[in-house]
Amino acid sequence: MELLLVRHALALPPEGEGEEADHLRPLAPRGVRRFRKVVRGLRGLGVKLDLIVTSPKRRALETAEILADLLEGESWVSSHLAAPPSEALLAELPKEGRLAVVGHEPYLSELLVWLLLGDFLGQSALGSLEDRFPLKKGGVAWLEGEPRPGGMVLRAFFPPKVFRI
Amino acid sequence: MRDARAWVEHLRAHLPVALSGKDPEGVHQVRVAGRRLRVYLDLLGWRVLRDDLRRLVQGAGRVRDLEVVLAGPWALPQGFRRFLEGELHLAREALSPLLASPWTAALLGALEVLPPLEEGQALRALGRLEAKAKRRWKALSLNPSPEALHAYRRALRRVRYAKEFLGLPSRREKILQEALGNLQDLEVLLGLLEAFLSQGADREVLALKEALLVEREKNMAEALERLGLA
Repeated sequence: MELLLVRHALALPPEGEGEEADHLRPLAPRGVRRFRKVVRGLRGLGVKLDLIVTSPKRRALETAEILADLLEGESWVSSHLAAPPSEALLAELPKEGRLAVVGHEPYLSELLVWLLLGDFLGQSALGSLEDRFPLKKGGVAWLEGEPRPGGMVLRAFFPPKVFRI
Repeated sequence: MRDARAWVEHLRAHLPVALSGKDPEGVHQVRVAGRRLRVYLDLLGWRVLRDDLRRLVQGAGRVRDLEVVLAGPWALPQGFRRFLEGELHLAREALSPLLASPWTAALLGALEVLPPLEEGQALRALGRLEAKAKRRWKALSLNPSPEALHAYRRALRRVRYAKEFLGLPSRREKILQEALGNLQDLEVLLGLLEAFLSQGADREVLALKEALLVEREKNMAEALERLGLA
């Protein structure tokens, strides 16, 4: 299977403090414009999606909505994408097809490292590796393999700027 | 114009009632809220969350259909009643883990952050829903079958819900939708009778089916007359 890890696009700052204000953050108009270019670029690469799984936060939902232009199957929401990567998240993902998950940092980088390298490095090493795969807002990491720790290989890593050219 | 908050609250309030299984109104209201919020997504022009709401509505729908039939005015033969009670038990067993799952909590969280409607876009979406209802009406006028009537009623319901979100009058749609509702309950019962009969013949149930087919014929004629299609 192929898995696209997609970080939400550029969002507006929170209006107020606390978790609720963070959940309510919409995409910035510039974030929308830039992420549309990412989707156009992915379409140019022939990307079609069988499934989109998204975090329930508004900026992720709005990013998933733009990404849905590539969707030929279903979408669903998952609270596991608004939390550190977990076995529960991996258990939710189908083992076939091409799917995208839309979420947040630092969780997506942690997920990326976990899927690429597994647990053999230990938690302390994982912490320092996350900074080496910085997913920019609206960025995409494209993996292939089995969605289990150490079961995937990195096929491409796109900062959103690549698609603005 | 209204946003989605009232119906998200409605959904949140009725989930525990639906989970407890003590009051049929709980499951009914979960389904109603799910359907209304799907129409809100139509007005927003959103694709995401649509499949989540469909999953919720379908899960609640099976329980609700069985509860309506069991509480309905029909004299149900004992064997068929036991079959329905068994099916209801299975449907509730499937629904409870769904409603108690982290997925439902995530769905509620996502619905709570839906943006407000943008009037121009929402009115264009309403226009599309009305055009669909017109197409369904035309299909019904060409082929007046229970299936075509059901499709028309569903399209009408979406127009009604959309108008209510937009603060527009929807009395006509509401009256028509309610008038056609009884026929749908009958269709559900006939479907369940078919499922029961596929397990083996039963004279009492066959007699009930015959009576219901006659009633359906009569109700269908009345519905078509009401719609000016007789």
